[in-house]
Amino acid sequence: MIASLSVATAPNGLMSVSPSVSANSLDAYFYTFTQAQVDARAANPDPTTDAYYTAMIGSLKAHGWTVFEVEAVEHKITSDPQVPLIVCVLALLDMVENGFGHVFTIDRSTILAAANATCNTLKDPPDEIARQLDEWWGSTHVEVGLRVLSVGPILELFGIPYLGAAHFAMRITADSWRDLVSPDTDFSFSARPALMMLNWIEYRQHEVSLKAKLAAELAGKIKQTQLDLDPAKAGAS
Amino acid sequence: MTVRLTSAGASLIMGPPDVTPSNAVPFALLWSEAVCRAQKLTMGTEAYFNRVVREMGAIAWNVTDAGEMTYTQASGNATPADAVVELGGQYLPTDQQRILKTVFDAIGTVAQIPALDSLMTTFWSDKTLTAKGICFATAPVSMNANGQLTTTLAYLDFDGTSDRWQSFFLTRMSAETRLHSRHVQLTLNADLWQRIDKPIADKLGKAAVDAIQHIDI
Repeated sequence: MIASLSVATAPNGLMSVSPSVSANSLDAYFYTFTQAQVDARAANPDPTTDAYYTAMIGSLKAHGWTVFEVEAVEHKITSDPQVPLIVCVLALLDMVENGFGHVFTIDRSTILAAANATCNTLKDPPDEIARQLDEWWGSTHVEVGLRVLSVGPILELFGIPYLGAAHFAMRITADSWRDLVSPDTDFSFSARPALMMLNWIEYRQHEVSLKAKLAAELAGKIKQTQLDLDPAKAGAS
Repeated sequence: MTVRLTSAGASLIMGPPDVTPSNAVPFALLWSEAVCRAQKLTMGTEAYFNRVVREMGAIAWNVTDAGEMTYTQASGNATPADAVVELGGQYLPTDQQRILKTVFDAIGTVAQIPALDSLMTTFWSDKTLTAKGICFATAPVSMNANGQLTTTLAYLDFDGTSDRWQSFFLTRMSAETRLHSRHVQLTLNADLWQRIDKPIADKLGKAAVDAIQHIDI
């Protein structure tokens, strides 16, 4: 029952990937991103929170990435005749096209046609399919809540690294597989995407000090960290 | 497809046998869990997960995706392991989904693989049951499109009787069951890692490193 929502909840790889990302671009990405995590954790240790995402984007911006924030997508199903599956597909298509449309293209009509076909099948399935879905679903009551951070992977165009990132939140409650295509289902979805492009000149100003600082912090951290190496305490409170 | 299953502390790590550096995932997880124990954090809690993510991020692993899921089932025809594979379909890259399913399918037919039975029995016996259930982590490993070592670490907090690994992988859910999953996708900053893997191994000590077990499936 969850598989039909995967288009909304599996954001891994928002962007097409160039097979020839240079070592320099990867190096810049890894070091600025490592530092961005340090800054994001200081804001909120939970990487699925909006605060973490905001601080991460802010740090990347401070270390050479030009950030194009894309309009946030937010949706609640209450007054909309659309079904959850289609809402998710539409929201993600809008987000990808608005945010990353100038970097790569997607075939909107094909994706929408596939989503609509799936919905139509689920709304009025042949008896045999409905019987199998009933058996598969059983008497399950499912509540799914999601908060997702997604970054990258990195893309390189004409020597310039691009990086996409987004923060998603979704919640759905379902008593039957039919709820996935019902407009009455308790459902909400939001997404906050960003597209970033590395400014090499600005990054080079930070590069040496950034690498030295991270390496020194790591060495010091390993030396000072307290460990408890007794695995028998794995679940201890 | 041959998959190497590695047990390291509270984690089941799984991936191609030839990933490099091969010690990066088990060492980093053993390190992070040892930090959590020193902080007296309870596995499966938000604080524990956040601390693991923080430690991994601090020792050369970059967070590229993170999410949280709750899954409640009144009853059904699936095992908890089936639910994990299904939930994994929502956040795992395709190659890691395949790896997770291959390993969980193998564990589900473990009678034919005595060495796997032995590894799982040892792994499960190291877990401490909470009042409500059990918690452990899965970490499928792959190389991403940029050629970087990537893993998706998921801490699974499962309410139910779980004193034997079979209750998770073989027994169908018959009563109301809650599965809570917090996951984070991590990509290795290999340049930084090669500067710290020896100091980390030295500090973990021979006993911890020797306790890592693996089997090729």
